[in-house]
Amino acid sequence: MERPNVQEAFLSERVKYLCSCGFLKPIYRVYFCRHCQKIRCGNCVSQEMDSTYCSGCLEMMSNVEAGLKKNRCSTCKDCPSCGHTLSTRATSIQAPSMEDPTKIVPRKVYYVACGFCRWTSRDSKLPDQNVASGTWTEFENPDSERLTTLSDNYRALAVLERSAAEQGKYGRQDKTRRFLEGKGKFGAMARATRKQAGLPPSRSLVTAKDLDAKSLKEMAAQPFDEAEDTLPESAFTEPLVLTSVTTLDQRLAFPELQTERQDRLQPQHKHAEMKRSMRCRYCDHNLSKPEYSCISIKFRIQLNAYYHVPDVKILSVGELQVGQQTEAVLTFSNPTIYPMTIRLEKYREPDEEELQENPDPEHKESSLLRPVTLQRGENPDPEHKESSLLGPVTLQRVEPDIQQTAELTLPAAEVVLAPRDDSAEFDDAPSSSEFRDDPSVVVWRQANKVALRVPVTPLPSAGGGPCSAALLLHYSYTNTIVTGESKQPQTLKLRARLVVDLGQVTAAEGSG
Amino acid sequence: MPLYEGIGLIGEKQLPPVCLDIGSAYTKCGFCGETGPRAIIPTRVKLDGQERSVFDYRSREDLDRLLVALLETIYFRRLLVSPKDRPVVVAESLLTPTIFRDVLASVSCLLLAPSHLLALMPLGLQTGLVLDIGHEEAVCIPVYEGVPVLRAWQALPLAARAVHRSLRTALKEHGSVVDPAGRSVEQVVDSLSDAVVEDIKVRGVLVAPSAPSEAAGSEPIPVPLPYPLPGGVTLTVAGRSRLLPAEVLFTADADNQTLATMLLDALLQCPLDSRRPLAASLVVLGGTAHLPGIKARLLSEVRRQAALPPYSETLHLDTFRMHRPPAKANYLTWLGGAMFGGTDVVLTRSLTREKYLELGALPDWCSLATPVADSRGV
Ligand SMILES: [Zn+2]
Ligand SMILES: [Zn+2]
Ligand SMILES: [Zn+2]
Ligand SMILES: [Zn+2]
Ligand SMILES: [Zn+2]
Repeated sequence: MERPNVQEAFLSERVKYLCSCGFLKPIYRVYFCRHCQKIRCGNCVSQEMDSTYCSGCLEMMSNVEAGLKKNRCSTCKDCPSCGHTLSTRATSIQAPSMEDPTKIVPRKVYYVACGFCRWTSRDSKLPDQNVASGTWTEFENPDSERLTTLSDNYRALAVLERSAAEQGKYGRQDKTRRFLEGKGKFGAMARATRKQAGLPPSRSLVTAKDLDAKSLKEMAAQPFDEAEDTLPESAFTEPLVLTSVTTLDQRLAFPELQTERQDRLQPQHKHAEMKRSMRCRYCDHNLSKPEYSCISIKFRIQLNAYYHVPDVKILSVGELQVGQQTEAVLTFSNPTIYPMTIRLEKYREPDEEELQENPDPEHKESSLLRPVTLQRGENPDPEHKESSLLGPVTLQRVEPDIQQTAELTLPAAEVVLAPRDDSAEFDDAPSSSEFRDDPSVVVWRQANKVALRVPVTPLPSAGGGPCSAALLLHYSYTNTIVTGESKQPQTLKLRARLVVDLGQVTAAEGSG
Repeated sequence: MPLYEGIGLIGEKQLPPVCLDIGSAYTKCGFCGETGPRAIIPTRVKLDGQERSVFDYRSREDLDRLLVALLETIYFRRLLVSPKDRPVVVAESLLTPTIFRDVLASVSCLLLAPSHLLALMPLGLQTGLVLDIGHEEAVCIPVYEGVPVLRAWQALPLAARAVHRSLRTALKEHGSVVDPAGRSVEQVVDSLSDAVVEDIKVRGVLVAPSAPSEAAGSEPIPVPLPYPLPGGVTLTVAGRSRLLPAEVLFTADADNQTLATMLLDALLQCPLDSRRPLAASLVVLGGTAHLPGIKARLLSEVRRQAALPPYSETLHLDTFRMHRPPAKANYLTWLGGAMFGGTDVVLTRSLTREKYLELGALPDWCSLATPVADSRGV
């Protein structure tokens, strides 16, 4: 038997949960929306920015600040060679004294170094610094002045073209006048729109003529007779030291520099990271919201399915042979602090009622999101397009890819799962006595977990390949959100659909 | 599915728009009005535990998910802004499949701009023979007085992929290997991942200044390059193997087509009076234009071919000149988009998601603007 590893124990993908949109995901990858009472996968949530911070010094950045600093921390720097955070090193050198230049005295200087790949700022011949924080010269794009002037000109031109259009100074069409119009798809776009609206074609962009003719000519680059990259003879005669050439990743990490030489690499300020929150796309409620502070790894709202839906794991599976019944033991754990009743049933497709989405009409947390309705089946009628701005946006449901290559003999009885009690974790006393379990079904019980025996018969369709089975899990869920009328937590009857990957079928021995 | 609803709040805020250039291998992303992209990332995403190129989509729904995943990486990991707040300028190649365009328009509010026109903007040019050598293809479109001469466009699979394939062949033929496990050079080369082949190319491949002649030894051959691989294996890249891979771009195949003839053929399709200004305004861009020596070689090949029949008889051009763009070749298009998006046309002309839904599909600018002569036999 294989030894279970961490991946196997906590991040197993052998049991997958069916999302309302048709995708199958392991439990740690899905959310549970308490408002819709449904499982929501990554496709069914929308993301939002919460806060920006530097992972090096854990300093927060406001949106404005992040914008100004181009999302980079002003103190931390990244290694240009491997991307790890650089640290400052102090060393002392022999240098002429400040007071008396004829005297050589030891002086403390600083440079930055990578603790991971050992790159240092000295490798790129960046001068040592006299203060620990450093007064490094920042990289500047050599063409920035030219590009800025050019951009300013384009901007002025666009304004001119637009004001001319607004003043209605129509004129004869000519090429230079359409300088900016020609650049965009919108030229055709605007024409098509006008045509649709029954308007005559626009003959707008005009009279920027003076600006065009003169400044465009001045701005235009001059071509060269020689290409910029004529190879020097040394490229052929001198041996190439592989480590002196940068890799593509190193180049692309600094787009405006993109140096080919390792000794010209320059460190960049550390790129900030972002905390995100997730919203249910159907009802707009938050499903996950981290605490604002970047030092905290806690969440204010965390509706991961892992905390709400029974967690099903495979404990053991007997040898799988086509047509022969064997036994699988599945564990079910209750992650909530309320008792939970579960019952297993043969898999069936969700019916219309289950697929129905009932977003809370009261809810207006984010007006940017519109309710989503789920559409079943193939492409919607291409003729019918939403034209109203307020119309619902349809989310396609994909047909779930459910392979059933084994028959499960499911116990009919309901099983009660004890609530999760963190304080009882260390209490070894078996608590099975109070539940009056059927020993033919319940293998054992431990705190909020129960192990059930499920007979499995691989079907001929499994062949010699993977053997999987789907099932419908009924569970009672105690909803703690207090709605208008009822102040008491409600117990709801919910369903989850699971696909269990039982493993590979082994060929029958001695047959044939 | 749409990434964000209600994204089209254009004109209400003056936040700089986002500019994207989604290439077949690398995506350039950043903000309009800046001098360079914030990030250049592979156009690949991890979906259901599998890493795939966004262009390897199997269906419209699949492309939807791939693009949404790519955009999420761009917005939430690289740009750190909410996609709700700003319009997007997307540089679009002439060859972008319609489905790609439609899906892009349905996931975000955007302004699509033809990439070849954008590439001229950082140069302040209205006229240029634009050659984009990317990963899958090299595409050439002449732009005359701000208007693309669409009937003259050329596209050939002479790009990074072809160089990689040729590098593998050259390594097998001329390379040598020291392998403690005793594998042959063929076995070792076959076991190399595409990423390693790309790395050998990026760090070791050169473009010879002229075509290798039959008489060997007449031109310089670079020094062999030992390339260490995991497991104590050393693959020695022969001097020839450092030159040969790029030859595929300049060696005439069965159709007699090379990067140089592509430019000349495009010129032949242009109106007579535009040929001279176009020939004196070559603009070469794209990731593959970073190969050391490629531009010098291209310029010399174009001049050589133009002096030979059939071009010497049909084209009668002798002055070919090349531009030095004020940006790295792999993000020139992006930079054009960022300049274009920095003007306020983007605020007034963007296609909102609502508009897109109203129209049902994006009008094809090439079909509306200038008639296309033929569409590659599809
Ligand atoms: Zn889903
Ligand atoms: Zn920091
Ligand atoms: Zn490092
Ligand atoms: Zn709600
Ligand atoms: Zn919900």
